[in-house]
Amino acid sequence: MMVEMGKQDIPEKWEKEIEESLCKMLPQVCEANERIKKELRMAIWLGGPGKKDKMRYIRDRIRKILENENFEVIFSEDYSGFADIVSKEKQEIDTLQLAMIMAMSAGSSAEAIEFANDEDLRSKVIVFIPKEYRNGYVYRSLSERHHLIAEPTCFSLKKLKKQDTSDIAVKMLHCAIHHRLDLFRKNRTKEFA
Amino acid sequence: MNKLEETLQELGISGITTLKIETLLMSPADAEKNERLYKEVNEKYLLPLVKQQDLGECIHITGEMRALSDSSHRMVCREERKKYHNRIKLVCSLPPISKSKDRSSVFYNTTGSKILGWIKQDWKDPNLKWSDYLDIFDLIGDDYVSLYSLPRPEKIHYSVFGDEYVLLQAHHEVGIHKKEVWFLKSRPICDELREEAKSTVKSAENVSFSVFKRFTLSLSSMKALEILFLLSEKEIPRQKLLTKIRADSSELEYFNLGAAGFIDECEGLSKITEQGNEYLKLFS
Repeated sequence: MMVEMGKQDIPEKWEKEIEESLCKMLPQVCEANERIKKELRMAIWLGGPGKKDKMRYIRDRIRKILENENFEVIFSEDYSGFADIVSKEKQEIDTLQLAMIMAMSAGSSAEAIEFANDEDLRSKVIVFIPKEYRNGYVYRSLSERHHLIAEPTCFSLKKLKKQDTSDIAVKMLHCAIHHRLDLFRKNRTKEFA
Repeated sequence: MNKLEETLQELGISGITTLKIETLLMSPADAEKNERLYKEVNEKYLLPLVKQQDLGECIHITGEMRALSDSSHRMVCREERKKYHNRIKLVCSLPPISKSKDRSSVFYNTTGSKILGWIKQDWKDPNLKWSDYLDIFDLIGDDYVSLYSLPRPEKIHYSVFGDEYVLLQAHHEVGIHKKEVWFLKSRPICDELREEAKSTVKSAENVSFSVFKRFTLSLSSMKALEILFLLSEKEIPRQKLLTKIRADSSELEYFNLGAAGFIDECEGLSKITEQGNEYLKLFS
């Protein structure tokens, strides 16, 4: 029976591109990543376009991609939005190791700014932002004031809309893997020091 | 006038005979005895204060942030932050931090390695391993402490914590790691020096945790691991190595791995060091 693919499902093209990007890694690095991913299940806060946003499917796809790589993914909606969260939930967020936010909409940009200003969370935030917003307030504030945007976390919104490219998904997956390697490294360093 | 009175007077505190002061510990100008005193202060006073939620506003006025070289003090900082969301403030005098807004600028991205080089050269501590330096960078990079930098170090270095504790060092030149140290219990001196320390913090520049985080993250990136794995098999000419790692931007990882002491170059060949091999073992 043919199952109709929803927009939020990962297209074959994306899967192929993601696999190709991972295959480019040196076999020893792949092996280390495979081993570490079994040992360490890292929780990631994934912010981005909300339910009513046309681009929401991108965030759903990225959630699936990250879950396939053994990350635990948390959406702000699980907490009825960051702005409304109660202190218990805030404590749970504090235990997260990474918050990746796709600042593509007004709501997600506000969330990125809110995280950046939160003294308990700011060091865990990575913001992915369209290159097209480079001259905007959010980009400049996150980049120059909060130092939270690095060149590799920028992507082309125009391309994403027109060609449905996996570019942002590849970048976010690699970023998550990198932070998991770093968390593993940190835990082991503490044992050494 | 004795050395303690002289040191306090340099901080603007006079008439100490009329103040209530108890000298809990004291060390002569001897590096080993200084270390012993710091360890005792951390273990017998600071850690219990953290457990009792009585650390108060802890501020260190230092020259080279050597307070962080002690692993028990790093534990104090982590505990205080994790349990009560408080950050210990540390003022020092770092080499100039890049003001570049250009994220791709090499100078912007190598500030962390510059600071590491400065610390290693300045501390000259044979007991510290690569893992200690990385742990210090993780501590700041994960935002457990608030770091501030002054253009020039303060003349007298001290720390205040709790309601009445003061750790005071006699005047010493930069880079000299032996000096008289007193650990005092005195409410009026603690109050006065805390106000002084707060005003020093205000005049200093806040150093972003991201400077330190960028550096440690670059050492555990996939590109960095590729460099280390390849070099663990054989020595390779630098250019050939960087071309092999497909990416156009492995220069930063290469540079930072060198600054961390994990790779080295000899007669045009890049090679992994003993420390680099130890570091790589973390991932296996």
